[in-house]
Amino acid sequence: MRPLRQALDRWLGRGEASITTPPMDGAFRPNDLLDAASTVIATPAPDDLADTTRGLVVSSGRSLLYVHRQAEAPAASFDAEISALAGLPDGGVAAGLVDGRIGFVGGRYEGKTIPASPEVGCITALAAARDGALLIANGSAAHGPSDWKRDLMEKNASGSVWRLEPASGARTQLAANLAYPYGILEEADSIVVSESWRCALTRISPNAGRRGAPLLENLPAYPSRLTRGADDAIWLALFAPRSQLVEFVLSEDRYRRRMIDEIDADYWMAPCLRSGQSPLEPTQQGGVRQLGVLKPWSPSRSYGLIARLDGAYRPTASLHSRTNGHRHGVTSCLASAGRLYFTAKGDGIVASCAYEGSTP
Amino acid sequence: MTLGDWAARLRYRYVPDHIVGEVLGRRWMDNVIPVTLLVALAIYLTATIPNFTSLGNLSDTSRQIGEFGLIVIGMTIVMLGGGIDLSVGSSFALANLTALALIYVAKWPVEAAVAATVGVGALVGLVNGLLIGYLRLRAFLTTLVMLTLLRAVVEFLLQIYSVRIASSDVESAAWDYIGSGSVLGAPVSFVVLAVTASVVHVVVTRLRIGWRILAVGGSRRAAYNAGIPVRATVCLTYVVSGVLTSLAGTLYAARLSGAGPDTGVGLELSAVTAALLGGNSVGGGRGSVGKALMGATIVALLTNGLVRLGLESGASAMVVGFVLLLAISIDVRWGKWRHKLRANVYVSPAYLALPPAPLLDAAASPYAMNDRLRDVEVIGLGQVDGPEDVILDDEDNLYCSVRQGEIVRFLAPDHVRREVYAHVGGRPLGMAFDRDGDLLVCIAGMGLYRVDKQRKVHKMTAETNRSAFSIIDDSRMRLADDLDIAPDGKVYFSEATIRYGFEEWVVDALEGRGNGRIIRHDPAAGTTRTILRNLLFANGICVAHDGKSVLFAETWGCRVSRYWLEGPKAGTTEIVIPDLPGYPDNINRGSHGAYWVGLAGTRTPSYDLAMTMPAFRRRMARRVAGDEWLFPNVNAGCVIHFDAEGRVLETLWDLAGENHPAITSMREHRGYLYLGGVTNNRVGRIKLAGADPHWTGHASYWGERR
Repeated sequence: MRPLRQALDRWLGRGEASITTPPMDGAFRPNDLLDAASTVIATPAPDDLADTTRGLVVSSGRSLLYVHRQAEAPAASFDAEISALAGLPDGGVAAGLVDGRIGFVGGRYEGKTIPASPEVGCITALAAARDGALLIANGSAAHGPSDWKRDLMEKNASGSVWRLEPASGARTQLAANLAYPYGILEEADSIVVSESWRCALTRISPNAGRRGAPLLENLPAYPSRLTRGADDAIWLALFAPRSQLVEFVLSEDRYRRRMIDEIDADYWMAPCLRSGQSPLEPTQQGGVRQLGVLKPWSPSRSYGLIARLDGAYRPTASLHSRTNGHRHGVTSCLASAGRLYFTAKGDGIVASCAYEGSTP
Repeated sequence: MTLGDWAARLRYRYVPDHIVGEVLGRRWMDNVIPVTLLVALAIYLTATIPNFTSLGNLSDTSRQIGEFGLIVIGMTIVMLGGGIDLSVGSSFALANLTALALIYVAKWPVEAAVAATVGVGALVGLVNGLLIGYLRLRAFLTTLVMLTLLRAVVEFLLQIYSVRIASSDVESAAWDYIGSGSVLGAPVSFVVLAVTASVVHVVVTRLRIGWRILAVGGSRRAAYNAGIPVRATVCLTYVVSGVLTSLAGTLYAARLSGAGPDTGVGLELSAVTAALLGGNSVGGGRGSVGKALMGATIVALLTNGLVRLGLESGASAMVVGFVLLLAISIDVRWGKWRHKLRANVYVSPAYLALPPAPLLDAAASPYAMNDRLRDVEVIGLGQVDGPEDVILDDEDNLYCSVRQGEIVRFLAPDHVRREVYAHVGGRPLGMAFDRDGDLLVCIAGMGLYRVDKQRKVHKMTAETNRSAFSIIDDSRMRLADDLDIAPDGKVYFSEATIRYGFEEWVVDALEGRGNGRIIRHDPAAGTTRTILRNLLFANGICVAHDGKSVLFAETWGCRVSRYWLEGPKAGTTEIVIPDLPGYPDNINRGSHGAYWVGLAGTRTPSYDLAMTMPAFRRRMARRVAGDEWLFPNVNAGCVIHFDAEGRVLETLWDLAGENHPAITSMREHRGYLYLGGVTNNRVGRIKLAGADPHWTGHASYWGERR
């Protein structure tokens, strides 16, 4: 009966095949806190943040910039774009590059570059493990970090998590078949990754198989980097909103296939870091500017969202930049010295807001 | 183009999905079930019973239908008014007895006897009506009591009169003629039924009292609030039922001339069954005489057929009971299910492949993106709600058609002072000045209207000729959109779509079918004719500078076409600009013999692809909330300047859409371009570099001011 019912549901668009997205409610109740945050620096496509002994750094294209010392030269520049950062216990920073190499700036391994390996071509997040190793989130086996949209629309789940010994360069795989792991956080005896395309956080234990156990599901947006704050609160950046129409397009295989094959990725009906840049982009019926105003609740392909989770990974609060906001595409956030810093990659801004203790 | 594409194109061209929803929306769809039942029953009985269609049997059956039909019509009237009349069985018997007693015992003349019998029936109906209408007793209980009471009266009278009736020696040719005569081959009772049915039909559908009955049955409280005398109306329905029942009783008396205790027993059940089977609603307010006749025929055929099939009388009653159950359940289910089904299938997307979109980012493209509209002067910010069209008169005053159903005017010279020029109602859209300075307006939901110089509003036309094969009634205008006036005074205007109202234009975009048309109104002759059909959202319309042709925009087709009014190609259509980068709205004249067209949105690759996949769009319409539907990009503004041959001269963009997203109208006037938008709250004004600083639209149409 079950396959029959599934087929019937798919045909009629009900049951498991109905198109629903979780509402922005409860801990995700909308506000304008991200738009109220003060700009720290404006730089094209700021992607990831890391804390070093010389201060906070942000990756922007090929450069690594000091957030608080804009006049200074970049902390480092690479010959490829940086796709992930991790602050190391020794005060240095590890930078994953789009071609799969990992470079070190400052600290013990200053100047060292670990060559790319064919299995890890899409470094989306890095984290320093307590034992000195480096944890790597490899988003996809098929595409690089800049092709994330294609990976989503192809409904891939080919990501993996790796452990790298910086000294020897030896890699071991901890988990596979993840739907675009985009954030990584080490726990006492396990690793938590954010699986973007599943809109979920997944716990990976060394002895719990390679798929991991779901920890937090049904997020209203696609999650990216995870960090831990000073008070053990966990911060989760979410870089694009889920939408009914995108979920519908994902369920429509023929349209999806033709869209991928025939249309430039910028103009797909897919989530993005910043929408409304070109008249060739799709809009949605409710996204029409009415009487000169774009309504904050109107459907949008981009959004700004940071969630605060408690120790059990339950959402407790959130910060938003809504459809009419200007802090969209938040790919990372970092709590440092009483403030919460975040990168709005879609709008090219690093901003910060006050954060004292337990409430944002 | 792949094989699948070809298949989709052929399938959506030749399978008219949209007809299903339109058919389901028609009122006569209420009758589908009874008609089917009637036809099936007739076929079955003809096939199984020998001689069923013989002349003798048909005549006999039609005599019965004649009597029974009258009762069912009476029952239908009562049910239309929201009640029920169960007393018809006894009332019928009483009428039978009264007529026989008056003819055979009292020896009254036939006319007087018939009139008195009908009077008795009316009296019974009046008692019912007074109890139910004025004392507000329950119809069901009251008429049930009346049924029992009258039955007792009939039995009491039978003891006195039955023998005297049977032994009477009265002979009356007229009385016999009523019972067994015929008019032009049709039995008298059938003729009486036909006449009654015609009269009642006219009363119910055309006269005030009929409408009142329907209104009371539809919603008693609303009818009361509307000032209808509810009690009198309800009372009247029972009187009508009593009259028709007694008439039937008279006919029965004339046919059989026998008074027995079982006359009319169970008749109320048959009458209710027939009324419901025909499709009349139990709750009232929905039904017709035609349905009553159909139901009466079905029940008469069924009982007649069952008898002739040789069923026991108990079994035949059981069959009638089952049919009644079926009728009630179908009445309830079909009424609900039909509207649900219609809501599901009415939206039927079509296959629409647009020509390849022109490039916007190449500098050489005439449509190359720029930001020339970013720095417009803003007029009336926040003082207008959706100025779909803007126009200037010969004294430089600026008029806007806004959402509140008003024409708002900003006074020259600075366009700061605002006043409501006229309240026209509806949703005013396109505007044009005629030779006398009257303002002609297309109003969505209303039609073509004229505001004269004294600001009085006149209707010009709201109706055109109905298309021969259109299922929905397309004679009424639902979405008159834009107009222009030819030198001979004829008005050419567009109706964007015949399937949707203004608020649902988005659904028409999703359909992408040619639902629009262009209509010509001749004010001198007072005639209105549709001249072009099946246009993809006919929108902007503009009479060419030379007055020999009309340019019009098809929004979903992203093209501008020309319809020739005179010359060798008169009456033909040709495409002028086949591949605009967006969705054209109003077209208006400019200086130096050129034209302007506003784009309400730009084409997007994702939407173009969806337009070639109708099944995808149909599923989207059903599964995704309307606000989330995929849409072309309407948040960038664009105005295109083109010449008489369709060559694009320049393109003005507002890419961010801060001031002017979705430009639906623009007018050139004394070297400036004025911009309006259907969802905007301002009018824009921008200086044009190469324009003639003295050119005005008014002078271009009607010459310099006299």
